[in-house]
Amino acid sequence: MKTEVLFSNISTFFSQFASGDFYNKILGTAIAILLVLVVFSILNRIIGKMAAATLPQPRAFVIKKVIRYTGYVVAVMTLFNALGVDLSALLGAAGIAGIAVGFAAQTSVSNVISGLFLISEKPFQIGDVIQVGDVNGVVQSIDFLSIKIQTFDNRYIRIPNETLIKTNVTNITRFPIRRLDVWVTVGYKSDLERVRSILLDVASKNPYVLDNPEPLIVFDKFDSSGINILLGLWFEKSEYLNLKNSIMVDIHSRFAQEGIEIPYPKMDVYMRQPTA
Amino acid sequence: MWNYFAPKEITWYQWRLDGGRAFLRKNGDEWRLAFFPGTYMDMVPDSGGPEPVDQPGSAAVSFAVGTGKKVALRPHFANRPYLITVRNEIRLLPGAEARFTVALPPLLRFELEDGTVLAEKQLFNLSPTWFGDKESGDLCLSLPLMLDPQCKGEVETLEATDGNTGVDNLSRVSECKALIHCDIKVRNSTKNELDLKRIAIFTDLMNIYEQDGLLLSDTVLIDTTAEGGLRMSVDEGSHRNRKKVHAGNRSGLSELLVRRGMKFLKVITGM
Repeated sequence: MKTEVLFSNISTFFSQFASGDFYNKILGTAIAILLVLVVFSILNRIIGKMAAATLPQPRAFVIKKVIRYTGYVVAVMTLFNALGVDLSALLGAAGIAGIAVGFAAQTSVSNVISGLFLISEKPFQIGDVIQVGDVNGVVQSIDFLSIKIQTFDNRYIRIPNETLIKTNVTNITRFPIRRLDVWVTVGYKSDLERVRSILLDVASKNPYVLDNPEPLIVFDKFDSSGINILLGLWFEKSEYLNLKNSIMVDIHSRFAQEGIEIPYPKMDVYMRQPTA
Repeated sequence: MWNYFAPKEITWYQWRLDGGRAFLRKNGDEWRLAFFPGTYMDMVPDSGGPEPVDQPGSAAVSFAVGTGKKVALRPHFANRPYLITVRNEIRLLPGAEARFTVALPPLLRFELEDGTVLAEKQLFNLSPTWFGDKESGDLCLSLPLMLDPQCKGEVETLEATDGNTGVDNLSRVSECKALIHCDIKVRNSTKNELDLKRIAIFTDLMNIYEQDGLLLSDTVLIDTTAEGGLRMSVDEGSHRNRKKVHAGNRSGLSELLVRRGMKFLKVITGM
């Protein structure tokens, strides 16, 4: 009896392959899925081009991804609907699975959400030089889970988005000009007004120093070895290395020429003679 | 001095440029080019060329390879705006106008007749300066001089700290044929006083003309509007019939207000 039922079920299962309705259904489902994918593909291209023209690249990238994955979801739901699969049970199971996955993937989810905040806040863009902790480099890409940085010594560093949300991020190239602070110490016997005029002259002759905003000179403090002076020089952001190297050489050689001492820490030691 | 000519093979040619020099030598398709930029404040009215010379002296020589018969040294405006400072802060009362005359050092290019650029160099090395605020602005070339206004044709005769009077400076510069002579008019159309400190000249739309060997540019008009804004425009009318040696970009606009932005233009006069 049981064998007969089994054979009957098997026969019924295979007999549907012989009927035209089955193939019509398969064809209809395939065409529906194909149409969904084509429509979403066209939509992705159109909206992607519009977004690329009007929005920053990371946002346009996210929008295209969202449209593509929405298309996949709609295609899968169309397939299930055509096959007569009851989605409610599936959604229930997906909910339970989602909770389990959520616990396991909370870091990844946090990174994704942090990435969305970064994209909306725009603290930096691709091509900017940023500093995160002790890492300096050029932003290569801003992705869902992390950003990628190319350091100046050509290392590739991946920084999770969650880290960026939680820590200080310095965008070094956000503004078109920057100030280079050069600390100079001169001896106590130096004529400070003469030192000031020499430093300003050195700055005016350096081809990378902007004359507006004007160079800044601040006499900071009387230190143990000499008087500390801050020389702040404004420059166009791409000339950092050129300025830093050239100004150090210029100051050093000019001070030597003018006889201005750059002191180094000294200590006077008195030897006490032991009493007999 | 700025016309195309066919150089003889393996012969150095020199252009005297009011303190700077340019050199060129042709050998088939090989071009050797050299510039000696000079210093703006040391300019002397001495220009001419091309004239054959033995060697380019200590100027660094660069090479270009290309087919061409005729070549010329052509003046253009620099790739960056020029920035000029007035000697003392000038206060323009409502309705007043101040005029200035300045000689701008051109960007020199050796060009073939088809427009191919063999080499280029800024005449006189100028220091960079920033025109704007710390968040936005333009990198400009700073002219190392202080301008005096000319009201009703009178030239300021106060002695400057370098010992030169305005008259000395103007007469020296007016004879320099390698510099582009530019008139600037600043007009205050508002009901408030306008304090003038620095002037930026954006040369995108400006033309260069030649008359009797002198290079002249369109007149620059800087006007404050009744709404408190600033407007820079170019007046092409005064030199329209003269020979044009450089044509500005034709953007369909005669005013740079839209392109440069209101906030940025306010920095022109320190407003």
